[in-house]
Amino acid sequence: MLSDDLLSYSVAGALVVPHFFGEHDHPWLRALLEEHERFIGRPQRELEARLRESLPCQSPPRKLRLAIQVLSRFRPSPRKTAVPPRRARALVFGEAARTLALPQDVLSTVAASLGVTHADLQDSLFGDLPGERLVSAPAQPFSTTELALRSNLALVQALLCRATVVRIEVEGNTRTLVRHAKWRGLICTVAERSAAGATLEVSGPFVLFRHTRL
Amino acid sequence: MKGGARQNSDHAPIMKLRFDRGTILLTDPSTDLRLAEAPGVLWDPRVHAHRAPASRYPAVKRWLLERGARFEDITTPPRPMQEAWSDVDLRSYQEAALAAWELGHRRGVVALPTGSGKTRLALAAMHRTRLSALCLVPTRVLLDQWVREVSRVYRGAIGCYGDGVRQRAPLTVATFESAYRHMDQLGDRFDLLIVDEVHHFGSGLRDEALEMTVAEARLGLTATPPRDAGAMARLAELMGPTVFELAVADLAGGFLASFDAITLYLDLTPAERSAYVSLATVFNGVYADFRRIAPEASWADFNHHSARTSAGRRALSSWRQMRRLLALTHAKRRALEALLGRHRYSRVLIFTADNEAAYAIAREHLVMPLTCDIGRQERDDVLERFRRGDIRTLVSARVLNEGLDVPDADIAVIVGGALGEREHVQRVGRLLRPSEGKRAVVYELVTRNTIEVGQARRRRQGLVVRRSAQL
Repeated sequence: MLSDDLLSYSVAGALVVPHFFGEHDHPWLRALLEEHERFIGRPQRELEARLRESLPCQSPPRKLRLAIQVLSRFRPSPRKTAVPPRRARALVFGEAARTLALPQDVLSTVAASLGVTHADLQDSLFGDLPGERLVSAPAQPFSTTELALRSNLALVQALLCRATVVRIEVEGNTRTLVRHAKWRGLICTVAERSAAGATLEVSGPFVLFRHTRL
Repeated sequence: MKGGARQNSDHAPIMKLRFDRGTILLTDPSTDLRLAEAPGVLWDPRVHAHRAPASRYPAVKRWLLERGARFEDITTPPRPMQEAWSDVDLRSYQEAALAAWELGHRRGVVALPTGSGKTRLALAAMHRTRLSALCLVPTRVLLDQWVREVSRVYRGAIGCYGDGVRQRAPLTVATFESAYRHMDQLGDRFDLLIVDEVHHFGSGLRDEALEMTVAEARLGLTATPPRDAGAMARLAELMGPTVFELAVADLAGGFLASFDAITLYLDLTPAERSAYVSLATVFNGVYADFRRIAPEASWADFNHHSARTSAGRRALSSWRQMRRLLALTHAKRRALEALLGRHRYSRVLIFTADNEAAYAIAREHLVMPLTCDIGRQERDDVLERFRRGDIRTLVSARVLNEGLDVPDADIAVIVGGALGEREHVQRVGRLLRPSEGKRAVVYELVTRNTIEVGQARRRRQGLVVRRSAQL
């Protein structure tokens, strides 16, 4: 679930108003996408370091963090290394402890025993770590509008996850919904009934005592 | 039916107490009983019945018994087999801690340093009370460790919730995460709740897990009880007050190894100093203004406030850059090189402020990093190699702080820290497993005339003598 510092909203009385991404956000979203694109093929840690600093144009901090989070769902590709990183670590650090030789000498010895270059071995050591994976491009080109829409969806899902009571207006048969809520151990009550359907309120037993998702 | 509940002697409907997903539902009460006055009980209009959090069950039951109410109680949890227990011997201070807990009506937090045998104390509590017990632990590594420890003194089945396993038994170990997810089913199955590293609770995050169980007997274990008044009060409500507390200094040289704490004060290079001063100027101006407006405000308040303005964001960015600059300065690199040379035959743990510094040290000195990025299986392998002496030095930012069974080490080098007193106590505790003639050494690398001086002074507070029992 998304952490609180990623969610942009305001509270008016009992109402939570999400700060949705709109056209006014497009300039900085475009700048963000351009930065992401610029780092494709480079290690993830470099992109992360860049995004810790500000973008060329003004961006609301929480919205920016959420958009970065949405972008990060494109999994970086694992890096190809000359030696499997875990093996490289076991050999190099084991040799360093065994011989107490200088780091350069240890690397040369292990590299020679594996038949790879010194640089390849160094590159392999941490090649599997998340920060070393390579930033990859989305399967299909990603527009500013698409990023805004995905960020809005993530925002709504996160707020729904935090809800203590969910009010659902249902048209037609409510039975499946009620059955599913009860199966999940939730309490489902009918708040209003009309000819077309009903308004259901779904909550957990513990909500009587505190604001909780349980 | 539980002890104390009266039998139904006529045909009038009898009130029922039922466990319902972490709560106690009270149905069909007699008309003369004012249930809304019972501790923690509220009317639930959704189901037309009274309801209380499960943790209030013992108080509700006492309230009902005092009024001579007739009720059908919740089912008694099955007890562990008495004959399956072996004796659990305790050291004198562990006996004292257990006695303090017993005198505190089996509710409370025991604070003992890392390596002083908190798990042993918990085993003794389970053994001597003979109650069904649920032990909560923060990580999967500790889950395995606790199951192993329980199985050494109890020959019956041991339940386990976590790491993809869901098995319930009268003695069960669960991770915090599993407890949070499954307490709606586990909450009425145990009389004794034991929480390892209990300082993780009390701040609201997942506190409900402790409210959703009926267990009256509760034992919290920690090396670093919270000092914040709000968290302390909340933890006291959930688990009971701190009933016994000893710090590292109380046991060092006896039950724990003796240690020397050496602080090495280091300088920045002129270039580093210049960068530091520029960053500090940006940060200090904004921070001082904020402190003038809100002298009582917390660091979290400052973060929240600063994120709203461009000057504030610049200040926060400067703060982060200052931290990064101090994490591994030129002088720290040189000092570390000298220390690793001096202690090349010892087992050394290096602690850093962040993973970036840990990897930089790993590359520079060819020492194995143990970070959250290293997979569990590899971590286990590395710790086993460290135990055997095949690897003599490990570097870590947070992974070694708690939740791992770290083999004995003699030397710690604290290159940087981010989490203050609690983190420091946990780190030093990693060296204190006693052995014949052992004297551990903790080196702290602190950069002069920077924020690190104050941070180092504050974090050392956790190691001072604290011998106390509060009943």
